[in-house]
Amino acid sequence: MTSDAILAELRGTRGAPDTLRERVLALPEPEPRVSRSLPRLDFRRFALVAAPAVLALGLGAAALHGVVNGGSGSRPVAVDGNPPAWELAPNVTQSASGGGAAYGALGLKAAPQALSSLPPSSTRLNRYEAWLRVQVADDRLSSATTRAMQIARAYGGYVALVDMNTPGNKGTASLVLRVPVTRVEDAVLRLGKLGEVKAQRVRIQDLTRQANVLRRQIVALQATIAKLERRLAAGGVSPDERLRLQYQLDEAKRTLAQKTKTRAGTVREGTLATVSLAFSTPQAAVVAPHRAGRLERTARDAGAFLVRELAWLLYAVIVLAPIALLAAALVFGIRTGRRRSEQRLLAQP
Amino acid sequence: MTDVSAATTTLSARPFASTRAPSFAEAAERHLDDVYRYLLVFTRDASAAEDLAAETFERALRTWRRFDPARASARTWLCTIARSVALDHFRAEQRRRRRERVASEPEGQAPPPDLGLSPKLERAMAALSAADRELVALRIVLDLDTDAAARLLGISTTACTTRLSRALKRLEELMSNDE
Repeated sequence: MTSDAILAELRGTRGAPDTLRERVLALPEPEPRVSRSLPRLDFRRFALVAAPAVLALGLGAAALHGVVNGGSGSRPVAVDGNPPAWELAPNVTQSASGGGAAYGALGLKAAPQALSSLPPSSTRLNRYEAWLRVQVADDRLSSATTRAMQIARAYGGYVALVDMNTPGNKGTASLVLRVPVTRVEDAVLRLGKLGEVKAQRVRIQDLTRQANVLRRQIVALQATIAKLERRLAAGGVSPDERLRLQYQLDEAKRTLAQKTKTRAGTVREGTLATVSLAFSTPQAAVVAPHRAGRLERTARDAGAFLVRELAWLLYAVIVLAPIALLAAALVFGIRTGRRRSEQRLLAQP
Repeated sequence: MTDVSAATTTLSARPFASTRAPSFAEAAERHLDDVYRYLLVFTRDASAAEDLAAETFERALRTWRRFDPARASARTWLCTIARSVALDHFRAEQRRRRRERVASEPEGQAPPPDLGLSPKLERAMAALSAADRELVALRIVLDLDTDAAARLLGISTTACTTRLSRALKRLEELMSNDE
């Protein structure tokens, strides 16, 4: 028998018997089909359209964000964490603080001629702290540092700290100078002339009241000590009473020593001002951020938004990927199991 | 003798049915013979094929609202349901045979099939596996195109063609040996 004959005979397999035909045709007509309002989604076609659409939407949102927010300039921040010098408003505020008046910060624009200093009070005890950032030429860092130390000594002060970092001709130097308060104004002015003052801050705190309180306490303690010594010297005191008086005397002397030391420290604080000086070369100095144009800001904001979108996407992928993988593995396992079961079932004649 | 594989590749694909949804009665009348013949060749049991065909159309009636002519023709859709019904039948038969084997009851002689074929071809068909018979039914008896048959069976078109070629070669060998 030829293959054609086999195929022809197979195609001639008999059809449904009349009983089956009657049975099937007797079935009622089902309810009319409700036409689908939405076309059925084919996953591949959907993905083909959805992927570029999502991409376009993301890019569009980033561009829109850039256009909307790009116009408003962002606040520049200096690289050292401090507010940029040109933003420091030249203000002097006064507020009550502890034992005396405290004066606020003085900020100056980045212009060398803008250097000024707050004069300390000549009649009151002040804690005077000044901070200067001075830019010097590349080859002048070392000499400026040396000169600053000489200035401090020339005014009767000393150098508390020097930290210089000079890779080649460039680098930075930090100094902490102690200068008598009475001469600090001149010292600061001279230090500022060593280079270009980029920023300056001065803080003055009044210590007079604190010193006066300590002085009154010391006088009172001295009087107490004299009284106790007189009673002990007079005699006619019981041993217990003597012991108690002796203890009080020792305690008063210890407190007097402590208060005297504290007051000496306070007076010293009010005598010697602290000047923190930071020298830097042009390359090492804080560079003012480039003031970007509107187009650049727009592009930058759009880019930042796009990066955030990608971060969200990455987060979603990281969170959802294991779940999706598990689901896919489950579906794959079920399908494979079902197919194998069918294969076993249909393998027999 | 004509080469079987060549013969299978020349099978013309029936043009896809119009996307206009036929009524259930129209689909039943047009495709009843196809469904029955598929089940008959698949199961080799006329009585079972009749019952399974009836069950297929009852199930189709219940799920008629889900039929989408844009995705598949009514014939392919009905064959998919028929296949599911037939697989359920095979599973039930397998369970029944297992129970009978456990009870040590002698298996009853299967009734002689009545496919309307020559006895030699019927014997050869009986020697084929159910999977091969199903493929022959779909591709040869119903003249379903390769894509539709592969989709219905859940296999690739290549696998579908290869398996059909092997099945027909085996059929030819069995008939040659029977002569």
